[in-house]
Amino acid sequence: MNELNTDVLIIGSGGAGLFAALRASSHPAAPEVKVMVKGSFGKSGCTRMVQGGFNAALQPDDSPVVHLRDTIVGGAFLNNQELARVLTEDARERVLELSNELGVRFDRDAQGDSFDFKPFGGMSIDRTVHRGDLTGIEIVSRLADHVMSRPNVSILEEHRALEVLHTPSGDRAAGILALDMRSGDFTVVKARTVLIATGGGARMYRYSSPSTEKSGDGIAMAFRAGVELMDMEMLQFHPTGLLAGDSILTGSVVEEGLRGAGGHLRNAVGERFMSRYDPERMERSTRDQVSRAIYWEVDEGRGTPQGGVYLDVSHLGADRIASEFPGMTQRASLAGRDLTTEPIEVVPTGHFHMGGARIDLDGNTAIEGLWIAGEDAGGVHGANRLGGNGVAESTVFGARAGSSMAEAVTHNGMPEVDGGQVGAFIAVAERRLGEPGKSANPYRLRKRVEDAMWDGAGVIRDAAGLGRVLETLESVESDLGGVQSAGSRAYNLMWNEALNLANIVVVARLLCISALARTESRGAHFRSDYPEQNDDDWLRNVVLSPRDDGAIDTSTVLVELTHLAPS
Amino acid sequence: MNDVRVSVRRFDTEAGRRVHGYDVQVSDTASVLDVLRSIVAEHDPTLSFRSACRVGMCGTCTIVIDGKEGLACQTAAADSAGAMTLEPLRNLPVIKDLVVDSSPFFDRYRAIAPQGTGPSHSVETSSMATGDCITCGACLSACTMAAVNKSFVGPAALFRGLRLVEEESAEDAASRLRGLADSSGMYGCRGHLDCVSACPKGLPLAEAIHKLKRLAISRSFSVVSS
Repeated sequence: MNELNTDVLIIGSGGAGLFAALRASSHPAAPEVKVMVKGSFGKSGCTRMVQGGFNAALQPDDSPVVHLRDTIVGGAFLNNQELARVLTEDARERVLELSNELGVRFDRDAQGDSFDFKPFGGMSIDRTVHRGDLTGIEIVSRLADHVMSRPNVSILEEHRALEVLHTPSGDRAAGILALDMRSGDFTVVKARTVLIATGGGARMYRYSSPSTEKSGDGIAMAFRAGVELMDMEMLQFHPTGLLAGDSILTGSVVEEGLRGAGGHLRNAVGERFMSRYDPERMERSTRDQVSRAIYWEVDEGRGTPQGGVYLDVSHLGADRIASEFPGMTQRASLAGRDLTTEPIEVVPTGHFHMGGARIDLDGNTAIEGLWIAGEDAGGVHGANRLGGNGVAESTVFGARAGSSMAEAVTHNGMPEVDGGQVGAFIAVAERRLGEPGKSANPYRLRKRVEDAMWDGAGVIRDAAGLGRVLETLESVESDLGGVQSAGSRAYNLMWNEALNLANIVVVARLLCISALARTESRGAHFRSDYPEQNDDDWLRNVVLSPRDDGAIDTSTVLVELTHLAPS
Repeated sequence: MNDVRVSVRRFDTEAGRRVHGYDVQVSDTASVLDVLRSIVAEHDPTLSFRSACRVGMCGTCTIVIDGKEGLACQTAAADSAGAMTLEPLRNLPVIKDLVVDSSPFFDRYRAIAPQGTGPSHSVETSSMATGDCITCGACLSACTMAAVNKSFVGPAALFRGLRLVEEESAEDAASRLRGLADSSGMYGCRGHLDCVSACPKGLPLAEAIHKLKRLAISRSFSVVSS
């Protein structure tokens, strides 16, 4: 076992982790910063996968107040309005910093005087700054260039964070226990400050869009460490995930621009079914509406052979499609379809977890020494996230957490870790290693979870279905105990998949419990047994708290309508 | 479904180097990444490879497929006509099987100070704005010069270098250009073009290096005459 010390420990190298590293390492006290990444540095996580862009109120007739209103209305009034206010105020600074100081080249208007602002759903003014339709690659690449060049930053690649470690008295966070995936050895990193920024758990569904290594690790370990979570039922489905047979490409996002440009959605009998659900906006309806419409069409037997619907843009002209949507044309071709001349099959896909840890405006959790930022945090987006607010959240709150941690380093001593905890956590992780040939198959177990979650806790939910999912999760958790990963400890994918699945089961269970608690429909959460939004009783956040005995306490707290109330 | 014989060049510290063959069934829409995933899930859980985004945006799954660098997630397996050979990237140490240590690639990339000194213009100034590098390492793997010249920063770093030369202030750009004008920089390239055919993003890497050389020549003339 290796032991390391650091002033600032950051888990994750997406937008939140990288911005935190940048901020913390720039502090005048020059603290030592370590960035721990489960995958490759700057290549894991979802900020890199951002296609659309970054919302910032930078137009002359725009303001953070208008952006805030759009964000709260979009979030169906479930947002923590102070977090949303900070999002909309700081987003402007982050875009200007990225552009003017960090070398990110966003698209400009023809004169170069102003950014090119794209129209995005739910925005009253065009405010989405972008670089073509692959914005995330540029943002993360430039952030990574800076972070990797800082003398006081070091990187722990392919180190899977397993658990938050506490001090022997349990009064604060003291570091992280990690598995060095390359060697299979364990590493204890003692840290004055720890940030969790791993990204969410949307990959718990049969169809999902995020990067494949994501497994809700941050949320799961934060909850085990005692962090309270809010609104875990709020998981956004993107309406058009690609169907590509049993390829891992299935679930990847087919961009909204195709519907915006005039693409048609048809069911298997050829109807433009959106006329039944939203005759005015048709295919340009909101993400949640289109997702539910597709789900119902399939559920009522009008689905395609692969269980989705058709998205057809061929009437827009082959040349236009090929030139405006080259990435999507290429993606469809990998699924064996020619987007320019024929329909493709699409299905709603698990996309983004709005729910997450309760944090303050600087990403502090209730546990001293532990910060959380990005998709692992809750409250910013309420019941629904607007496109373009995701990368805004990760950069804004990553930067704030980084500054806050660097400040705390000046008065936090180097903590001691609880050695008993280290031993117990290692024993749990090592239980998944063992006799080859005797094992349950974690890949098939994972499929059981994904199918159950899709059927019972997906786009449409009810009490009976959620109850069935909880039973499946219990059975999978028990079978997971029988996984004995074959092979050596070094770069053992099966061992890692078992560890992924253990966290996915935790996050899936938390989602189901929270979804059972919210007996109404709001934003991304739709209960067929409670189909109406109920503002009288449910302008409330569902809060889940871990108890020492392993049980989960469910409570609700009123949303503080400090800036905007439903009219 | 198509039957494919997949030969994987494997390595680990215990068993050493060997080639392992797998007979797998491949659907028409399967990528090479799908093939690797199914081998590990259903045939041999001890095989190691890397992947993340699976949509060609992260560059994590770059390997050598039938002798040529490629993103496993963006390469159709059905094209393989019954047999496929998979190897780890070249010019990088192998950790296990198809997993390489990419730090030599990033050490070379970092050597040019890729963070830059900040753009001096608001407009896009890059003459190579045809797409973005995903630092996948394919170019370094294919580069015949990098194989013998360990100090050569390689095509991806020089591609970044050109963009910085074109967007930094005149003074910073001149100093950067001087720094790149030696055998660890632009003159390490002899124009074999292996990087161009290897780049999964189709970036004009050789053109960028050539442009750096032309800029360096024109600047040095002006230095001499002043």
